[in-house]
Amino acid sequence: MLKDIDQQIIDYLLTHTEFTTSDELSSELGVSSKTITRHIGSINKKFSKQIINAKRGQGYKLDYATYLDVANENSQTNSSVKLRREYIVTKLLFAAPNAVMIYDLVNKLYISESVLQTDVKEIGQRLEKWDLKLVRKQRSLRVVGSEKAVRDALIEVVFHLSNATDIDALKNDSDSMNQDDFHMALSQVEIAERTLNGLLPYPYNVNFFAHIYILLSRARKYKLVDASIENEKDLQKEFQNNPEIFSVCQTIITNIREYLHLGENTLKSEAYYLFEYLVTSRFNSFDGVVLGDGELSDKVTDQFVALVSEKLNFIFDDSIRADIRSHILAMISRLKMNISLPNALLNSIKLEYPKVFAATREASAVISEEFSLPRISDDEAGFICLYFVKYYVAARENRVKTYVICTTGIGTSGIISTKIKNAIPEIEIVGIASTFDIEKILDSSPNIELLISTVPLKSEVDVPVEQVSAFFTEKDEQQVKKVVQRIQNEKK
Amino acid sequence: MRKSSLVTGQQLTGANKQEALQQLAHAAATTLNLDEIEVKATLMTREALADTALISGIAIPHIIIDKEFTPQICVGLLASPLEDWDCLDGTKVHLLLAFAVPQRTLVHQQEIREISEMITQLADEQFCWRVSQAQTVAEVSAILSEER
Repeated sequence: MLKDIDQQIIDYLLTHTEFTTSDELSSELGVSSKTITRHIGSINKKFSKQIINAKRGQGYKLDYATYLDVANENSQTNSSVKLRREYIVTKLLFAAPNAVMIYDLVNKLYISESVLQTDVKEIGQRLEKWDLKLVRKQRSLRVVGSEKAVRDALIEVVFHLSNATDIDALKNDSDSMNQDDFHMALSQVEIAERTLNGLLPYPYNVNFFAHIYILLSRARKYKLVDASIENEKDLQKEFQNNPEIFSVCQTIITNIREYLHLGENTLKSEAYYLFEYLVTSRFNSFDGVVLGDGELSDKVTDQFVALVSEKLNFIFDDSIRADIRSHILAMISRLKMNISLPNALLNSIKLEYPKVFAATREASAVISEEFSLPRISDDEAGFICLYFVKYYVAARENRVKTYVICTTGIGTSGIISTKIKNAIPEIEIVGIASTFDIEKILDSSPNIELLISTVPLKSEVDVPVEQVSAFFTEKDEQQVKKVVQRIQNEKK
Repeated sequence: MRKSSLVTGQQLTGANKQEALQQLAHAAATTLNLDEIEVKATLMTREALADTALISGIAIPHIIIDKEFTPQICVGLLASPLEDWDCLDGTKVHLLLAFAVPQRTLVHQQEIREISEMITQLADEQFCWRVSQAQTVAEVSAILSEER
């Protein structure tokens, strides 16, 4: 960005304590002497006092003392406009969607309506950034837009978070804020960091704090975020992928409810917004306090995977280890520091995944004994369970779709179906049928990948067929497992 | 008990697979009012496709005929194990649990479902062992039709 000539002249003169000739200036700046003269004239007119003195024969010199006076004066004027506008926009945002009376603003700020008009114009432009509109009626002004947009705007305006700020600086600046709310918001941030055994990196910690602080003041006036976020299906899946974070958010909202003396069913969507925020914050458990337990968490992870695999008779993909490790580390630190984190998803986990939960819980009991850790609660087992569920379910979705066939569809096929289900979890038995119905079935279910039959099939089919005995012996099992592996590999 | 009414049968004296199946065909044809030769034929056809012997001396022959009749499990208890009919675990067949179904199954959905439930229990080895110990048709029927 090129400095304007006025500023270039001032800057040059700032660094030269003696007189500078017109020629020197003109050659330095690459302009004619006439231009220099003209600009110095305009500089001296700009300010209330003359800052550049001219001495015939000697040139120009900056009167440094005067210059300092004048420079401050200018920024003060600028900043008072800025401050006033910030006051107005803050008031408007906190009041949204209610209106603010113009009368109030004009009186409080000792300005005229025309000055306010200019302010309003500038504020309106600024608010466009968040898709907010400033609507003026005869006697009032109000901000129109989504609650989320209002809060985002507040964060930037109130906390000046578009500039470099850190949470300690905020503490110093905290006079302008409600002290109790300030401490409440800060304590919730600390809870999140402590329970998740991680640190929210800057600037996420400040933003998270600001988010909660604003939530406190807005919630008092029942200005709440759009509840439709609760129905977003992707978000539900995200909860399961980050159950500890979701649970912390629920805990924080519960604390806020108590603090604000609000009823049980209030603020529900707020937890989702908090969650969304934390999840995108690149929260990292390994930044946490108890780093020395890295090795222990490796061993515990391996043991968890081994035990749960055994109980479910299912081999988990190796990548599960890397996934689980950081969560196990966070769990170990909570156990050692005796921090309890109620699992907000526990009831649905027990209902939807009883087998995996039971396996995880049993494994937890063994592990807390083996590694001399405190008892692993159902809440904690529930968190770990969800990570296993993720891989288990993914594998199930990759199962080989199979039809079991016999002559009647009710005799031997019924007998071996049960066995196949137990012995080979990679198979999904779509149905049982008789040899007479095969063609019909294959026509109506084109995604069948395998037929297991107790009798030889008369017709030619496109799908692989495995003939097995009426009782599905060990030998049959091995044979079918091989075929299943092959089909799964071909799919990848 | 609805299920047990679907189980009938008798003691058989046959000394080999052929004889046993012949006697079973006779008994089933009488109970179900079917042609004995047809019944025997369907039994043999199914055995030719694939052996129906399971474990613990139990076999589950099939009777499938394109006539209208109420589905049944026809039990044949042999006086002594058949020398020429082996199970998958090396034991000799001594108990036949044949199930007879009409080819057009739509009419008897309920009975077929119940018979299917009874037979499917044979997936469990323990269950097979229990049934194989039964001495009379009544005992077999009782075990098969137990509420799960």
